[in-house]
Amino acid sequence: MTTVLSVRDLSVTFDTGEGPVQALHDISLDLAAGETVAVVGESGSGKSTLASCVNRLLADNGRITAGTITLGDQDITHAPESVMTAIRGRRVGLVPQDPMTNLNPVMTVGAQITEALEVHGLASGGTARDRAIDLLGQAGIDRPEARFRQYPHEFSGGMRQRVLIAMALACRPEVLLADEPTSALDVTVQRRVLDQMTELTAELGTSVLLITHDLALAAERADRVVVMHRGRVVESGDAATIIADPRHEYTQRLLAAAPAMSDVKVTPIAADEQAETLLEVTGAVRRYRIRGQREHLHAVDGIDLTIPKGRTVAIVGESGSGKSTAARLALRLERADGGTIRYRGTDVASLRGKELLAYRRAIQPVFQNPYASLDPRYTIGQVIDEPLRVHRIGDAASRRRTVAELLDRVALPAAYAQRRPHELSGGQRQRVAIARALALDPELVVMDEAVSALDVLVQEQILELMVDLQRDQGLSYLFISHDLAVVHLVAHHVYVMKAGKIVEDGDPATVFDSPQHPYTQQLVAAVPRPRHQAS
Amino acid sequence: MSAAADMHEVPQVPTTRASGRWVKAFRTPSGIVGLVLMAVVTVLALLAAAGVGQDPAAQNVSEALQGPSASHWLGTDQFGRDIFARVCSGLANSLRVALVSVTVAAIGGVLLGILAGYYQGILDRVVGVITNVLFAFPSLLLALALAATLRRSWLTVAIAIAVVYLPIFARVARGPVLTLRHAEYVLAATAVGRSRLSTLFEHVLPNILGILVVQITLSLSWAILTEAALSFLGFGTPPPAASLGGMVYAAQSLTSVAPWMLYAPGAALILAVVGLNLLGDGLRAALDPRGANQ
Repeated sequence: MTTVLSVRDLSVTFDTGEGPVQALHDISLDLAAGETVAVVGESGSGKSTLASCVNRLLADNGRITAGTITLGDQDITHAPESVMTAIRGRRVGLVPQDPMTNLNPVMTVGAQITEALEVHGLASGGTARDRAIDLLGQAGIDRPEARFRQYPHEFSGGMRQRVLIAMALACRPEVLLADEPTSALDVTVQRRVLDQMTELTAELGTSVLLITHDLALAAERADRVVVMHRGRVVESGDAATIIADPRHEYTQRLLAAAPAMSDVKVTPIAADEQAETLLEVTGAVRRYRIRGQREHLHAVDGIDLTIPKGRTVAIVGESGSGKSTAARLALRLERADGGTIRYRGTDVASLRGKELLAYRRAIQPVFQNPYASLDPRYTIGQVIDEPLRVHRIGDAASRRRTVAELLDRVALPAAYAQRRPHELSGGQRQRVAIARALALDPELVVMDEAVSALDVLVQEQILELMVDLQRDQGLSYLFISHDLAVVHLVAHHVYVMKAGKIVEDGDPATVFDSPQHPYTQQLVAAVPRPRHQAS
Repeated sequence: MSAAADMHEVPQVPTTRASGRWVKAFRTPSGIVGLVLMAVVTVLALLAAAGVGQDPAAQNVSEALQGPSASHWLGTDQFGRDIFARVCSGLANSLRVALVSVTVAAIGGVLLGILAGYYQGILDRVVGVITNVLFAFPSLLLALALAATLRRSWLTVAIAIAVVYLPIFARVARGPVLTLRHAEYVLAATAVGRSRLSTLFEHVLPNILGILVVQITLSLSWAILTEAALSFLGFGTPPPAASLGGMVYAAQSLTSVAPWMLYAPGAALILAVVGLNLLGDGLRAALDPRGANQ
């Protein structure tokens, strides 16, 4: 097979305020015609830097210090901008990560696809239009003639990503760079969009360089996998071989941490074991008024769920399913419009003053975004002892001791109490958020997508921390997630939510292995699995 | 528990203390220049207010319309008054009016803005209507109308300017509060058991302080200009007290004879306004905790 893209000993350095930082060290990879190669790594591994080198869109402070990039038989390592302009879009197509910000909101979708064709002089007028409509249809958009004239805001996230794929493939490029193309999408949409992309590139014979953090996804979609860690290629080879027999220690860790491929962490509960009920939700309803519409949106539409003491109960669903609203109802950050939420038999809606404060002590949240859930002005010590100060527990000295102890419990050094949130990594911040949640010795911790924003290795550590804390202290969790694979690892009982309603519930093994409801079946099917494992 | 892997990903940066951030801000060129300019302006104004140097109101007709000299650094006006003393005294007047008006506008406006943004509902609508009504008038015209109807003194000028700037502060404060009230750390504080009002002052207000400080420094410079405009039009600080706007007005008929009468108060105005704007830039960098290391 002919090689369409070849990267040899590529090194890239960024000039920063603290001196030069080398982002890529001697990277080499080859992409043959019609082949899909996945570059896998955590955030900061340099995988996106590699992608931006290929179409020569490095940030201004970045420099290619060594090595070559060859496209076909043309060396583009130091090609001038004028040459690159003719290559970008024409020979190298790009599917960016975020479909929400990568389409021009004031241009019709059709105009943005024909633009690519016209810029490169491949087609114009009616021909370009017909070609664009064809592409939209091929990318899986129904009624493409009508859709052609619509604006991006009339498209959902998954449809926008299809439009971006259609744009990237409009000029039939030799290479398609897909930089985390579906990370911003719901799992079921992710699967459909990827299927469409695979089909389309196979048809056109395009080679795909797929950049992803998800090893399972890479193994499912790619012929070969290149694993990157801190700017170096640590392992590369045939996808199935890497999954079956990872050589490098880092790949082994990644593989062990991948939720779809790792073992259940939580201790199963004997069938006859009975636990007392901590939180009981019956027929809870939460409505929102939508501007300009007479009908209310039922974000939560009559759900029933029970959280027993010392167990992890999970709610799974895609964005918009109402699972986060359910979490907020449990936290009493919002009030239910109907139904009851009982905590140890008491209706939480009736709680006032001291009783409400006591309830707040018993149930604590950990939110999704570790970058947004800590007040940037507080030190870590202040973040963790805020609950103690609010509840007037202990004096300054005893609170300091408690903070040190809590930091130790979440495996962070006590010296971190002096730091500020921006000086910590995402995983460390999430540990701090957990430490804050534990400060008041709660009975129930609500984890609202608490591990979704983390890299797999960090995610695994946080999940292990959760399970350890549960075993040692009998904590209960309400675990909200869109990721069935993660839920499978930690939950005792899972509820599947769709459009405000619970469509299925049961123990995770049963739900995972033999889903009853069609929606659950879709969710289960959407979890990426390496080709050789798929039946 | 394998925290080790996570541990070595730590960004190794030294801890920044709040005081360190302030120092850092004034290492930026604009921060330094702004600080120096404002220090000069403030010292001159304070000296004039304390009565050091020549009397700005003392008339000496025999020395009228003299150019700059050793005894009169910036020359004299048509009544033989020392221009340097009058510029310093004018600066003192400008700063006093600006500080009083912006303090009143900032406290009132920010309180209204954050309460409206945080509690929403009827309060937000009422504040919205009031600010919209006030915005409907051109600001100088509104200040002029207020200053003209009230008894003429520096305080009424300050109040007129405060009324004009209050809705600006309300708006500037309300916007970010609308975003911050949904921030996860604000939700976390509520879930911990902090009351809504306490969360507002502990987590929301401090995080919009950076924006507010920049707005305050900018408003101070606008207030100085508005006071000068009102005085120029004869509705500002009443004579014989010196005001920069009044001095420019008096100088305009004499520019060919005594150009120093125009240049001196004009330059003083520019120094104060530029100084405040540069200072605002420096402070903005200082008060963003995330920007501290950049």
